[in-house]
Amino acid sequence: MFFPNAEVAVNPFLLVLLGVIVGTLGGFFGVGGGFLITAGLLVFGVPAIVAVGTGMALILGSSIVNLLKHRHLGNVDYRLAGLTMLGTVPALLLAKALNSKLEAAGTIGPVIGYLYVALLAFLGLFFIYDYWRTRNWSRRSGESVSTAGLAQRLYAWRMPPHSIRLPGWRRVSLYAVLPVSQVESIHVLIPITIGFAVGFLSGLLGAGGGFIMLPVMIFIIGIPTTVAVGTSLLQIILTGVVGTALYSLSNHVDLLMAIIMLSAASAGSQLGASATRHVESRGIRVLFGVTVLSGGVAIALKQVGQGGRGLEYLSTVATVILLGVSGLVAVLIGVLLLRSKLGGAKRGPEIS
Amino acid sequence: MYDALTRFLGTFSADNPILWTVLVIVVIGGTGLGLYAFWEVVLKAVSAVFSRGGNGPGDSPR
Repeated sequence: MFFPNAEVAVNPFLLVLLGVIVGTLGGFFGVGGGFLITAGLLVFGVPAIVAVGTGMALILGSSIVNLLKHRHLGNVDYRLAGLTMLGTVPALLLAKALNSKLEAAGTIGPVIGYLYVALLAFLGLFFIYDYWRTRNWSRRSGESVSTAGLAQRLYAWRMPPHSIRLPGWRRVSLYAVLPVSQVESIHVLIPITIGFAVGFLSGLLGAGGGFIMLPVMIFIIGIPTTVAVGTSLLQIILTGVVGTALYSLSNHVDLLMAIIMLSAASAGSQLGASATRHVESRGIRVLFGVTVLSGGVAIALKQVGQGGRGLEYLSTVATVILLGVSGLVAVLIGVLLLRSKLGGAKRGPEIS
Repeated sequence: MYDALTRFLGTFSADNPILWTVLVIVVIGGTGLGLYAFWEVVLKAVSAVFSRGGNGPGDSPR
């Protein structure tokens, strides 16, 4: 099937498959699925900048579906999302300007590819290490291990200025209370700075930023995993709107491709979001780690395969790894949900 | 039909970048909302069918 904006022919069944997987993982992990969409579209032969732009459009649509589902489950902290968004908007504009410069220089493909590999590999290995560490600790001591050490230090950090005087207004404290996230006091510059950093990286990579925002919210801001899942979606929608607008203006969004994948993703997201109620946090994190790591390996193989020298078959291996691992994780999510529904099991204890 | 659609998408996006941007956001946002509503209705209907199936005559309140 030929896609006019991407100017490339792609098998629509591959797009549907990618959409279902993205939707399931997006609903489960609270990510827009950008890391998987852009990676998948690159593997399917879509030009890098169109893969980024179309990924943004799909992120927007699938995040709307997932957010509505998570809002219904009470997993969204609007105050925290608002603060991170203040940093995200200028960062997206900056990232888009850099992307255009890289495209003009003809280096955008390798830059996006290698940056993805580094980020996904780091995050995947970190989550798997965290799972291994917390499991070993729990076995030895019989207690759950705290993953919020950095967050506690951040809460205790009294960073100036403590308040500002707005013109014609009384003095306003710069420390925010986030009841939904169970944060008693945090300086507003911390989530704004985090929003800027995540927004810049996601704008550069064409991702919603959920795969970066989720670990940041859990390990740096220290909020419960399920709230991090729901809240990161709100931030992803903003990234999706700004990103889609910027890439559409330069005609780098394939609407037809995005609609096909979005329709498929909506089915998967129902499954994924429901499953978060029945799977313990540690399980969500390790599955997330395995998925992003497979994305990193797939893009690395694709980059090596593009170098020629008889290594072109690595592109096929990359497709198999990406769709195979993420498909298996999506099936596993379905099995976990089904098992808990049939067995009437409740979600395991939250690891704080 | 498909040819006309691809031709429209190709030319409209190239000739009207601002309108194209608005169209993309509206279509994607609208599709997202529509799909959420669709799945809510489907899931409610499915759960209603299953819960009705589980209530036999003996289960009904007296």
